[in-house]
Amino acid sequence: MEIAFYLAGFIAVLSTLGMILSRNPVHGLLYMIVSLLSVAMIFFTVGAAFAGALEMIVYAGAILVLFVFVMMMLNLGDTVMQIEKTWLQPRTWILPSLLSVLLLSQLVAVLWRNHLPAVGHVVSAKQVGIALYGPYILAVELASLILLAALVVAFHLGQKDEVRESIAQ
Amino acid sequence: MVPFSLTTLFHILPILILSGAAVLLMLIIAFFRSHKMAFIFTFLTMTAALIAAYSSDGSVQSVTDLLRISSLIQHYWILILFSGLVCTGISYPYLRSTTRFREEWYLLLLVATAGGLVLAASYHFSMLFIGLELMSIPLYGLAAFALKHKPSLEAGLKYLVLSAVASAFLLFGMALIYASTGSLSFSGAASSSLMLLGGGLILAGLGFKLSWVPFHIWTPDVYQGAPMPVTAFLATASKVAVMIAWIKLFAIFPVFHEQKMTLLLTWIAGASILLGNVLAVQQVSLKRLLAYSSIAHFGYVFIGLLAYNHAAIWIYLATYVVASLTAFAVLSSLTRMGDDQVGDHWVALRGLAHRHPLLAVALAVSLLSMAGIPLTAGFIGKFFVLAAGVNSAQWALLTMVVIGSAIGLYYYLRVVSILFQVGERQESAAPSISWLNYFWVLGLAAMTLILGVWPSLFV
Repeated sequence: MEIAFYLAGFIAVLSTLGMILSRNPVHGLLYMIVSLLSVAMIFFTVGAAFAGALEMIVYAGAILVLFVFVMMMLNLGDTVMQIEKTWLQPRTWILPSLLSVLLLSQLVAVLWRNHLPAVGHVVSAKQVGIALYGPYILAVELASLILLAALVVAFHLGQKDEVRESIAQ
Repeated sequence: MVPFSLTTLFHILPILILSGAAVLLMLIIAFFRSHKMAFIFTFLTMTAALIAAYSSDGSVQSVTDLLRISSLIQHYWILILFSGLVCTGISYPYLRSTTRFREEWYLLLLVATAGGLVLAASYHFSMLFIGLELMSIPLYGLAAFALKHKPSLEAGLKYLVLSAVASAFLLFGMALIYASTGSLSFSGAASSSLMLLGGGLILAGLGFKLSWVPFHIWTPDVYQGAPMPVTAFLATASKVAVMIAWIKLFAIFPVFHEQKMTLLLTWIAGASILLGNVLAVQQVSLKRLLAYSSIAHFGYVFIGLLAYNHAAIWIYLATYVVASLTAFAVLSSLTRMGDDQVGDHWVALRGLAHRHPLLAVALAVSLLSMAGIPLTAGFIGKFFVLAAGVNSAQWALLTMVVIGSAIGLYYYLRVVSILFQVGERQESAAPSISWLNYFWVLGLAAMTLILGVWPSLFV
């Protein structure tokens, strides 16, 4: 299990470096997905299975895939498609896929042997829910207020004609 | 599970009022846009929250494990809400020339003020972080509110990126402290080397928001680019809220009293005082000058902190807030959204006393107060901080204060002299100043003077 932890940590560092160093935003996002997956793996190895699952579903699954979609959708048109083709060549996938496969094999191995480590204690989804809506209810409500503020800011910054004008200047 | 009843929520009534009003204002905006109505609604909400904070009995109350209220927190709540109220008040005339999407401004101000209150009352690292983000995220939007205006966008972006880095430091520090104590609650766990590392990272994260010296680079640019009432909020409510969070951490965690940490803090304080004052001398715009001088002011506050004198810190911060708000209220009367870049330049301020005598006098009073001239509030603040420093024998820092105050006197008085110089007559574009601005400017200037001659009012 210790090997799994260090391997996942190594992949996390490597893929984060790849995310920062790659010039192409799509490549960077792919590396970032791998980085988040490896962080999820670290959660699994220390026994926080629920946190690991959340990391995968919420960050890698939802948020970053949304990023990739937006990145793709912003570049419509034939010329841009051409650019994208050069961006997303098959060999782009090699390193991220290799790292992902490594993580996947690790995860399968962990689940196969089905022994969760002794470090920490396992927290179930139910316990997390009870904690969130019990003693941490104020934190949950205030976090929702953060989202409201972020939404209003995004709405304001996303005004169409004003932004166009400022770009035109 | 913690017993959790509705009556405990009563103790955080100001937070509830502000958050409820933010949601309500969002619904109002969705159906009916009116600048005046949004302003009046926000203004009344802030007043209600201020009254609620003022009328609470100040006993120590825990609201779940996350928040804790005491009379100290209540004092700082009043200060934060007062700053929020003044920022709202000066926003209405400031926004009169913009045409679109003015109502969101007030919504964001409400949320940011609520975040400040949460931050002040937090008693748990999760709440510290949520409070900090709740205050910062609306401020990114507010700093970049004038979208057509490049410096404003620049200010928003700079504040966003650098704040995110500071938040990462803060989170890492929290994680290290959690790793060493196993609890996110504010409990005075014995210090270890891991705690020391975590404490240092938290110091960097919070120090960024307070713009102490190694973390101060963002301050002048963001101050200058952000719209005037937002700069006022950044300089007062935001800094006060982070300061009280830091004061609490400092009081609770023994790790901050270790010799290495105290030495580090003394260096930060000394460097803030010296560098803030020295850099302020070269500025040609009042906003940038106030930015650098605020760095120095938060260095002065450190002396009260290292002397464990909460009264001195509170008085210093209260006088600083009143004086800063006066200065920003004057500057905001002279500018409108989008033209801040010239409004606070020496050229624009020259001869202000001949065009707007009342505003010039109020600005002079606020600058004298910041310089610590007797009969103004700033003198009382500086007096308490110096007394605290003398009592705890911090001679090195006190020397810094003396040098810093001497430099400060020079650049504050230079601005005053610029205000009273005879400038070339500017026939065009003397903007009419609304009675609301006069109300705030004169009220705050009067407050600066009254607190200076009758300090027992707020001790």
